[in-house]
Amino acid sequence: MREGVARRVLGAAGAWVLVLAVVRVTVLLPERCPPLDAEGARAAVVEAVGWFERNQEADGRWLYRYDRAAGEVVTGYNVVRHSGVAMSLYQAAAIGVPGALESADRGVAYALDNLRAVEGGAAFVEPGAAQASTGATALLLAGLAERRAATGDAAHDVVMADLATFLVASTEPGGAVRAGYSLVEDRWVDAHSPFFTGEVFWALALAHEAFPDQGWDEPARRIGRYLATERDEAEGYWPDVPDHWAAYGFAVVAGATGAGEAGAGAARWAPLSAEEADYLRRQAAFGGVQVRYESQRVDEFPRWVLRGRRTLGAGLGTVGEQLGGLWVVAGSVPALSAEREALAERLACAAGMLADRQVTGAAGAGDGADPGREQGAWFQFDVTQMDDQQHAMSALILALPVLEEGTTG
Amino acid sequence: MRVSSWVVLLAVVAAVNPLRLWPSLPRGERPRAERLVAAGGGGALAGVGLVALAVAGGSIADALDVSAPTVGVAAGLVLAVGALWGLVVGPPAPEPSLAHRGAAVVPMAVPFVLRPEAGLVAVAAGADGRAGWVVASCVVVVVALLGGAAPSTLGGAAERVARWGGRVVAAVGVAAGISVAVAGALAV
Repeated sequence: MREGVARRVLGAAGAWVLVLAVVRVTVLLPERCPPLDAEGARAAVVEAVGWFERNQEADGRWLYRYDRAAGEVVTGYNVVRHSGVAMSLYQAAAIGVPGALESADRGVAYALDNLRAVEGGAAFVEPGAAQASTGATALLLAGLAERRAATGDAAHDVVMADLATFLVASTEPGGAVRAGYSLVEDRWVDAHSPFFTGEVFWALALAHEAFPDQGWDEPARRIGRYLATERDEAEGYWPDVPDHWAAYGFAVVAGATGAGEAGAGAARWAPLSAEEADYLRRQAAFGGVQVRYESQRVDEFPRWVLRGRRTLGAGLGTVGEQLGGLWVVAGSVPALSAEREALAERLACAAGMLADRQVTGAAGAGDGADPGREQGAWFQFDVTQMDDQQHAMSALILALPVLEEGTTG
Repeated sequence: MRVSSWVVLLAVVAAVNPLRLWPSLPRGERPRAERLVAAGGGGALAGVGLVALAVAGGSIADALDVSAPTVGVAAGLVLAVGALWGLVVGPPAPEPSLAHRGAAVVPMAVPFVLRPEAGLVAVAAGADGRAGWVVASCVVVVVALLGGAAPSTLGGAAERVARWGGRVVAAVGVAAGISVAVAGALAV
C-alpha cells in the first residue's frame, strides 16, 4: 500500500512537471522588454534622423532599401512611404532633433514638385504613375500639419487646403476611402486600402485642427465612424486590421493631441461614440498581444521555431505607434482609461525592443560594407527599408511621454 | 479584455471538478467523521495551496518574466484540455490512499484537488488581482466534497449527480478555459 501511495504521489508530481514544462516552452516563454528611459529613446531617434540625413538624395528622396549582406542598394521607391518618412521627420523636428526639419523639408520639396491637380484639389503622384494615391497625399498633408504645428510656419497652407480637398473627394458618403484616382481613366479607382483609410482620417483630422473653419471635421468623423463600425466587415478583413493610422486619428479626435493649439482640440470634436470606444478597445488588445508575442521572440534556435523570427522594424514600429495613439486616447476617453497603464507598459516594452534592435553608432561603424547605411537603421534578414526607420522612429517619439513619466517597469 | 470574476470562480471549481471526484472519495469501512475529515480536510489543505499560489501569482509571473495576460492564456488552455480529459475519462480510483485521516493528504489533496490546471488557474487569477475569488472557489470545492463524502455508499440520486454533474462541470471547465485563454490573448 505504501508503495502504491508513493507511486501515486510521484505520478502527480510528474504530471505537474510535465504540464509546467510544456506550458513554459510553448506559452509562458519569457517576455523580454529591454529597459529604456526617455534619454535612450531620444538618442535612438537622433540616430534614425542621422540615417535619413546621410541617405537622402539631391532630389529629396531617401534610400529606399539596402541589403547589408550583399552591400547593395535595392532598387525601387514608394511615394506613400516617402510621405510617411517626411511626416515622421516632422515629428522628430517637433521634439527638437537637429537636422530633422531640414531633411523633411527636402523630402517635401520632392513631393511638391510632383503634385497633380485632381478633383479640384491636389495629389502627390509618383513620376510616371497612372494613379494618384490617397495614402501618399494623406501622409503628405499629415506631415505638413505636423510641420505647421511645430514651426508656426504657414508657408504651405494653400497646398494643405488643396491636398485636403482631394482627400475629401476620395471619401465616400459612408466613410470609405478610395485608394486612388486613375489619371488614365480620369475616375476614382474601385479599390480600398487597409491603411489609406486611416491615413486620410488622420490627415483630415489634423487639417481640421489647423483650419477649424474649413469643415474637414465632418468627413474625418465620417471616416472614423466607418473605421470603427463597418470597415473590416465591408472590406473583408478578418481578423480586424490593427490600424495605427486610425489610432493617430482618434488621438486627435479625442481632443488630447493634434496639430492645433495645445489643448484646443477638445472643444472642436464631439465625444467618441460607444461603438468607437469599443473599436479602440479591440485595437488596444491587438497592440497588446502583438507586443507580448514579439517580446517572446528570439532569433536563435529553437525559440524562432515556436514564435517565428523577430519582426521588421516597421512592423514593431507600427505597433508602437498604435499603442502611442491609443495611450493618448485613453487619457481622455473614460471608456479606455482602465487600459491606460497597460498601454503604457506595452508601449514602453515596444520602445525598449526597438532601441535594443537598432544598429547604433558603435555597432554600425566599420561593421558592414557601408556603415553610413547601417547606423541608425533596423534590419531584418540583413535588409532595411526606409519605413523601418520611419515607423520605429515615430514609435519611439510617441513613447517619450510614457518614458518621461517613468510609470512603467 | 478581462473575464468576469464569476468565470474565475467557475474556472477554479471546474479545474477541481468536485462532483467528478465523488465516486473517488474515501468510503469503504471508514466512519462518517473520518470520511468528512478526509474529504473536507483534503479539500481545505489543497485549497490553502491554491490560495498560496494565487497570492503569489504576481510574483510568480514576474519571476517567469511573463505578463499576467500570458499566464491567463496558459491557464485557460491547460484548464480546457484538463476539463476535456475529465469529460471523456472516468473518475480517478480511490485507492491507493493513506490510511484513516491521512486520506486527506493522499489522494484528496494530492492528486485529486491540487491539480496542475487548478494551480495554473489560481496563479493566473492571482496575477490578475483576483486571489479573493480563488478563496471563494475553494470554499465551494470543500462544501461540494463534504456533500459527496457524507453518504457511506454512492448510489441512486447521488450517483447520478456525480456522473452527470461531473460531466456538466467538465463541460463548463472547457468553456471557462477557452474564455480565460481568449481573454488573456485579447488583453492589452
